[in-house]
Amino acid sequence: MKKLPPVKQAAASSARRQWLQQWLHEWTVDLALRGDGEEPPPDAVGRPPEAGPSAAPGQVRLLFPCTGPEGARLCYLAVLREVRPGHFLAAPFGRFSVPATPGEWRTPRAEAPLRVLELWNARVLSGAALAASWTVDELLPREREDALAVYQAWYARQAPPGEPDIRTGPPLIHPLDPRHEYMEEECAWMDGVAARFFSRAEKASAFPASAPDELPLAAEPRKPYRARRRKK
Amino acid sequence: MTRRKKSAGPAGPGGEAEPPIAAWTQREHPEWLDEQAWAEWRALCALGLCRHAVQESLASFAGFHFRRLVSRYAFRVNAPGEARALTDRDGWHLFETHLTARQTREGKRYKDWLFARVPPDANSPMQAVAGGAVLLMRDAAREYLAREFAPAGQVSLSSPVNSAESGRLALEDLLPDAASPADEVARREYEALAREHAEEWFAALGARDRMLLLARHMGLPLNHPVVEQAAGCRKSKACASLRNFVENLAADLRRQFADDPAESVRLLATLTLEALNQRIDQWGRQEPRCADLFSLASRHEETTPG
Repeated sequence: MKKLPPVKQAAASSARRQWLQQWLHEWTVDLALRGDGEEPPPDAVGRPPEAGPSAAPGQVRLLFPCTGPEGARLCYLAVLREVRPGHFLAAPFGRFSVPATPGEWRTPRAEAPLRVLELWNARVLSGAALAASWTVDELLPREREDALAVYQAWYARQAPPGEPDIRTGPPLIHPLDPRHEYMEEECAWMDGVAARFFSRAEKASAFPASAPDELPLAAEPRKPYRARRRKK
Repeated sequence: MTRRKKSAGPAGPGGEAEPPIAAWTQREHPEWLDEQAWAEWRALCALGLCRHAVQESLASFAGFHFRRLVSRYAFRVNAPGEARALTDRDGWHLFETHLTARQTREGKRYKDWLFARVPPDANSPMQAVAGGAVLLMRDAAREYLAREFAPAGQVSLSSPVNSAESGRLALEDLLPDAASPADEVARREYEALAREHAEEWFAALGARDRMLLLARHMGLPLNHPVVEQAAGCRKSKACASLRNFVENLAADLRRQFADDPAESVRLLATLTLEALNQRIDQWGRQEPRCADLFSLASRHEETTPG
């Protein structure tokens, strides 16, 4: 029979272990708070009177509310950089107090809405879509640099260059780790947000204003082909 | 047969069915939907600066919903009295402080967000504001509960992880550094063994399981159409397949190292999974069938339609 070399337990104070414990605890509570009879997401929302100032890298913005399940929570975004004219890479801030994965960064901020940045969940959004938001704050240049470093490291599957000063979440190795479920939820939410704001912005700037299928076609008969006739 | 009558308000801890909160509030607590009260709070910095009646009304609203949320969790952990300790003012304070991004007008834009939820033709506009506040309160309640019900002392590494997918996982299964080899020589031995086992498992895995492991390694959702197409199955089957694989791998290692301590075998299992992720990543980069997965992962941020 083979024999494995001896192991020692890691220091109980390991920051990542504590973060993972904390995150799992918050996740457990979060699951328990989901219940029937919850306030339903809105079917319709108003339109804030003023459009926010145009988007620029470094801004922290709060998107206007939207309908559907995506409208059930606040969406704070950090605008990280302009990737092409009029389009910006923006990452949402997370709901939990500690980063869940190496793609999440614990910012130096103490305020609950801006503590954790989900860089793995960043999206390219048009400036028109981002205009549907309020400017809340500005990232410090150092904060933006660190955020971009974590973003790049996540996609390269490497450790961020400034680690351990840049505080990211614990590695994600196990295929059944509950953080996968969390990431799927967050990804679906952000996809929904991006789709809603993108379509809203596109509709606002689209020409013609009406959808193509609403316009009558020149060669189209008034009644659809083989429309049902009344029997005599 | 008689139908059971619905409860008159949001469920207490008894667990009866809850009617929509907005309708219940309109009927039972119309004072919580007072437009002037909410407008005054919006205009002023904090509730403490509002008129006494406004403070009473909004704090009572927050206190009620905060206690309702706290009860929902407290009953699960057998601490039903916990919610009673929370006063109305506590509830409002926790709500307000959790949402403030900065102590400036801009940092309190969440107030504008709540008011922007009001549809243009709303009959009772404050239902949208109060409803939004209830939705946001869940986050504040989660944070409060996580703090108040934090496990005393250190959590055991073998404590189970709460998740639908994870089955019987423990904290130590998720952390590569939960335990570590005693010295550098031992570390190298573990790594070599892990690579060896990963190679064996890689050879034994079918294309579907490799695709699924690759998707998870890249952080792609298993219910994404590209992933479903690549793996040839829906998410429920994918999860069952992954669970089966992980259980087999753990059982195989336990069998091979039956005389070793459990923590050593767990460490080897975690390192094997890590090595397998690397091996599958390497395989995927050369496998034409995985091109869509890599393409999806690299363009992930460009998911806006069009």
